[in-house]
Amino acid sequence: MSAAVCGVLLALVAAPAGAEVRSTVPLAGGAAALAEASGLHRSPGPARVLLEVTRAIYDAPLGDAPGVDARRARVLLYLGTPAAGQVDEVPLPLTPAIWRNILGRPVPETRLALDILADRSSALLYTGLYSLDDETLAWFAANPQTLASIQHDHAAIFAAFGRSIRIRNGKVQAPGGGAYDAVWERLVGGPLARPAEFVPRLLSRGRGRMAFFYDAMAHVDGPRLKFALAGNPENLYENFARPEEEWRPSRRPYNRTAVDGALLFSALHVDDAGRLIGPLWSELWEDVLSRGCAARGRGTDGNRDGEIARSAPIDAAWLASRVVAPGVGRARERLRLVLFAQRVFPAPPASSASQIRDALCGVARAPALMLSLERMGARDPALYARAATLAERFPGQAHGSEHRPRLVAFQAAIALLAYARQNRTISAEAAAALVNDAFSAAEASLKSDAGPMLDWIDRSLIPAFAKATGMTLGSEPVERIVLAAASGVRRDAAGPPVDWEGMAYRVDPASARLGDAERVRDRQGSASFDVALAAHRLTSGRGVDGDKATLAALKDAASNGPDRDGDTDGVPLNTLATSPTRAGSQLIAADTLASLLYALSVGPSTSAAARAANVARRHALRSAAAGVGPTAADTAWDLPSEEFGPGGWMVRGSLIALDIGLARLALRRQLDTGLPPPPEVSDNDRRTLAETVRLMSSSDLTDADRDALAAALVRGRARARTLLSEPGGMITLAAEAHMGEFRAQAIAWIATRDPAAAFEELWLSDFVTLGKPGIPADRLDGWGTAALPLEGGLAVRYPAGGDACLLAGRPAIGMTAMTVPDVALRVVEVLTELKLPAALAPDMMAYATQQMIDNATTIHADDRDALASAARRLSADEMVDVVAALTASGPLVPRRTP
Amino acid sequence: MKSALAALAVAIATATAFGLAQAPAPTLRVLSPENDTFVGGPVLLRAVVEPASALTRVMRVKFFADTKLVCELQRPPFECEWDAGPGIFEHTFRVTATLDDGQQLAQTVRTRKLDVSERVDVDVVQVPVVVTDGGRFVQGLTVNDFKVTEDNVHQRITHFASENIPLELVMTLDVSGSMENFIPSMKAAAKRFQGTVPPKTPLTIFAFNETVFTIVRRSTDPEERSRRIDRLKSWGGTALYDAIIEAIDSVGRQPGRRAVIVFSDGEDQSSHATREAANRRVEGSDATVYTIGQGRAADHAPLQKIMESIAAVSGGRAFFTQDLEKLEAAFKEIIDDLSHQYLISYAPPDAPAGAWRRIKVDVAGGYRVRARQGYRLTKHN
Repeated sequence: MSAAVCGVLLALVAAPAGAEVRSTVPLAGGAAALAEASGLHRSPGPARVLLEVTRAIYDAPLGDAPGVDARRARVLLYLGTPAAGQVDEVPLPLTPAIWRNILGRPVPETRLALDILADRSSALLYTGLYSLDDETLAWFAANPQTLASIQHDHAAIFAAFGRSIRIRNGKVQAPGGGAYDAVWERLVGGPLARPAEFVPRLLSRGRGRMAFFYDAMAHVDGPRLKFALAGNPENLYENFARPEEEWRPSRRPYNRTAVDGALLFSALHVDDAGRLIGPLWSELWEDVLSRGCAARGRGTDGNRDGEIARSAPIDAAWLASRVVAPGVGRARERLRLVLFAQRVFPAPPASSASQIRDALCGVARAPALMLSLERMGARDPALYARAATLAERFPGQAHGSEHRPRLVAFQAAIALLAYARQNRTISAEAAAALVNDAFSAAEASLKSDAGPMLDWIDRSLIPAFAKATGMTLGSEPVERIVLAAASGVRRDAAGPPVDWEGMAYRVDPASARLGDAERVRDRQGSASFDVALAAHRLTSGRGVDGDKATLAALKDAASNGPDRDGDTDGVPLNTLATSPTRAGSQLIAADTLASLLYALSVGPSTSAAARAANVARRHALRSAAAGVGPTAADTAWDLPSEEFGPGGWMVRGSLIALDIGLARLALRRQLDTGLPPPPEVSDNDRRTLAETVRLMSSSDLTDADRDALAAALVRGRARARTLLSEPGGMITLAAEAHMGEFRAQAIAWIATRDPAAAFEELWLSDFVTLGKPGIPADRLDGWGTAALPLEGGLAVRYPAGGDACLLAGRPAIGMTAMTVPDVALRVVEVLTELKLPAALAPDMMAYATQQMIDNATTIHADDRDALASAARRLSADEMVDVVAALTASGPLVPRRTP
Repeated sequence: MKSALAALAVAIATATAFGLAQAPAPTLRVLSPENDTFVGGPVLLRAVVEPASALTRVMRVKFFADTKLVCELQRPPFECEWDAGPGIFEHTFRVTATLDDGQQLAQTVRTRKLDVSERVDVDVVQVPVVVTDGGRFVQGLTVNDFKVTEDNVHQRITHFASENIPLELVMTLDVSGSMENFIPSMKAAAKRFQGTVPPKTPLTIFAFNETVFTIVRRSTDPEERSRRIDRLKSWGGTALYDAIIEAIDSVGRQPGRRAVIVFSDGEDQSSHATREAANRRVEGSDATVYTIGQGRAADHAPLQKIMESIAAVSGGRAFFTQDLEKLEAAFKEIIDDLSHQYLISYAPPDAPAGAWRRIKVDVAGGYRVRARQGYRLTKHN
């Protein structure tokens, strides 16, 4: 847990008059020296230094983690003889007198902070107390025996979850308020009216599990709390966290499993009345989650629809038992399935129950296909069920000379459609209709070879693309039409004009994408799609005289064909030009289609991937090692992902959603001069940031929303300045900005000493929250971050102001970056100042995000503050240079005088 | 931030529009290349800040070509060279001047592309040749001493040079995580090498992990080069083949000798390019590649084989040692090699793209001849 920055909905409630609950003590040696001695990459400053050092050195008890032991030894040595000279003042919850009592000895004030830090229990107690509001602190000040008990027995749990303890007028204020008092008293086994009894029981029950449950419920919103506690809270609690052998918060207070109840209940979609959204039929979910989709394939059986629809609705405890309880390895996939169902089928008709069940089984089996359908806007359960069936019939046949072209052709058709839809070349309705047709062609292909699929591309897809782009078949090369459609070139598109540094441009992201793709194609060396299709027509008995002229090109294609890299699956290509075969032409077509997709996905044509000959030939549909079970053996429908190893770089998985698999390549450095320091942002968070760049669509961003966000930033800054200058204003600021307990307390302490410094601690996303942009959620999402790490969808979402602590301490699976929309907000500021269109934002993000990564200095792997601060620090000069960079092969296309 | 950006915008506007009545506002003007012209090959980038009285206010001038920083200058003349490559493509050149008050002047010019056919066309094939006799360089040979064949067909030498041949060097340093323990010695070696480079010979230095970074471009300043090398740290994966392609692509196309010196452990894990693709690019270039095996490559035969094969196809050599003294001897050999190269050129016959053309150079007298073994026509030749 990045203690200094997490938490939500702080109650910075003032203490009862006369009670002294917060102090300041000197820290000998200063914060920077202590941070350095602790191995922190940057100093968190005096306000947070004791919190962060506590996490760094007391994340595990002695002997549990050698790395932590070594760091602790260094710090303890330092505490004995801190650096001379510098002295910083640091915040102290409660008074020095109370702390001397806690430590049990008369410690001089100059040593107090050091001595607290030198003892694990005291340091963890300090952490827990730090987050409490004044009135609760006042209660603890008056109850030293409870403090002593916590320090002695529950310090780690208190540090982790104590932030949710609220005491008002001598009574514990439990999550949800009075309506749930009885529930909490029953669960915890103590009366709320007697905190001295209730609090230790809360902390001790289930070795911290009850405190975790309590804390999670304190940080979900009202409807989610209502859903969670409406059924059987005892059962929910039992299934809320992993068992003792997997998770021991009393020993590792800063450690969380990847998916637990807290994450599940923060992510679930619930309506305002606390009802779960989406398919609730327990029989459906038993099929999907418990029976491993063994019952799939019965989707056409109307009786099964009735059986599913009549089954009891699932409740919170049931969900936790099926999602969290089965184990760390499966929980994330199951959570994503539930969230997929909620997004795509929010109000499912009973008559579609079996199709939805099949669709969900398909998501587990063929995520690339199903998530791309969602990205295209498809919502018809029948389409998803059909896709699931097709994916199931394809993968086992992925290998073999006659099967690979068939699979590649099918995936390429869907991938091209997905690109065309993402870039708004075609409407959602047109895309759904074309996908349905493509499925029919794929079914025909399954009975023969790639021929029917290639025929469909030739006769249906390309004419549709030509119509949408306004290009004329016959006068433009087919390949150009396909690349243009996938890039977003539209008949009716006209980008806004822009004047920049004395030159006239128009904003045209589609042209930029098309230009890049064509430059990459030029380097790839594979046959053009026109040649590949001509060869296909010829070998299908549909050749015309003109096609024969392409045989010379085929010869060239064969000499540069996939055989060069040894991947012909036994089909001879050297004779293709003299005696074309159907299998040979299909192999060429598959090679070309894969190459087209790579040309559209590897990013700028200047990148190493774009210059390294034809990297499409480094794509593997299947896993090298055959796995076991229905989903393990074949990766052909998985989201593609990069792999690095002794054989070099390669990509494994589907050809669909290749832009996401290759998201890393979207990030660009404005300057490549000099070697930057190693990135401190974790690999997975960097991936999330890159996915954000790829998923953000210029078509979804309007100038009106840009202006609304910019205005909110201005209002938010003004509001923050006002509140920070007012006595007690921080209480309002923390509440309005949905600021977490630890962060709010830290900023409040800074504000009392230096309001200007406190202002600098705020994030751009704080200003937006304070400034209330008033944009509908679905449009605000366009400026958000990749949702893939948590919900699994191929979309950007503006992060809700939820519990920032929620993601702390979990394995670094890229969720921290998901909570930081600040780079986009910085881009909003600059675009507005420079009067540039919102459509430039995704391309600016490509540079700004890389710059932010290069600048970020993290304290922990989940250091949200580091990312947000680095985004805010992106300088005006840097951003102006980024705009200039967009004039070179970017979306700022010169308007030339005719 | 707002005020800074606003000031910047105003500055840009005024820089390109009006002067002030009392003291003319400084303006930045790009003299070369001009807007809407065609450029290819070496390009001289030139800009001027006016009036001359404003020059004292200029802190730095930066030249960018297609978003990449080409050079940064503190004082006039504000000009530097950039290689646009063999084709006539559209390019964007941006020049910025930062004044003493933080104000930034900027101007952008765009050049045009020439729509040409995709036919592969190579005017000349350039072959650097080293001739030795018992380990000693053979000097004083004339064009009549050389015989060149391409695919066993005799070729007429159209150009021959043995002295005063321009030399361009590229040094590529592996700073990946796998080199962590060897970085100090590699840096020491690289600094020694760059110190042996003849004066006025431009040296470009790249550092690579999974990405290739330009450390210094066409620098003739040994101290600056040494300082930049000192700052390198190791991290990340190894993309050796990508780095070789970047190095080959970065050398100029004008007549002359060019060499790429690669320091690496040869353990590629991150390249997008395959080893074959890197070899093909080397084959398509007339640069001589020298590989210096560091880290594991110093004593690991499979890695040495990789580095040897890359060097051999270009007519270069591979060295495997971390002993600074031995490396110094190797560097001397490289510089001697380059100093004693003969450069011969001939007009090649027409050939389809992708075909490998085998070159053989013979010298009368039974001397040992080292030259590129052939070339492959690609669209990048």
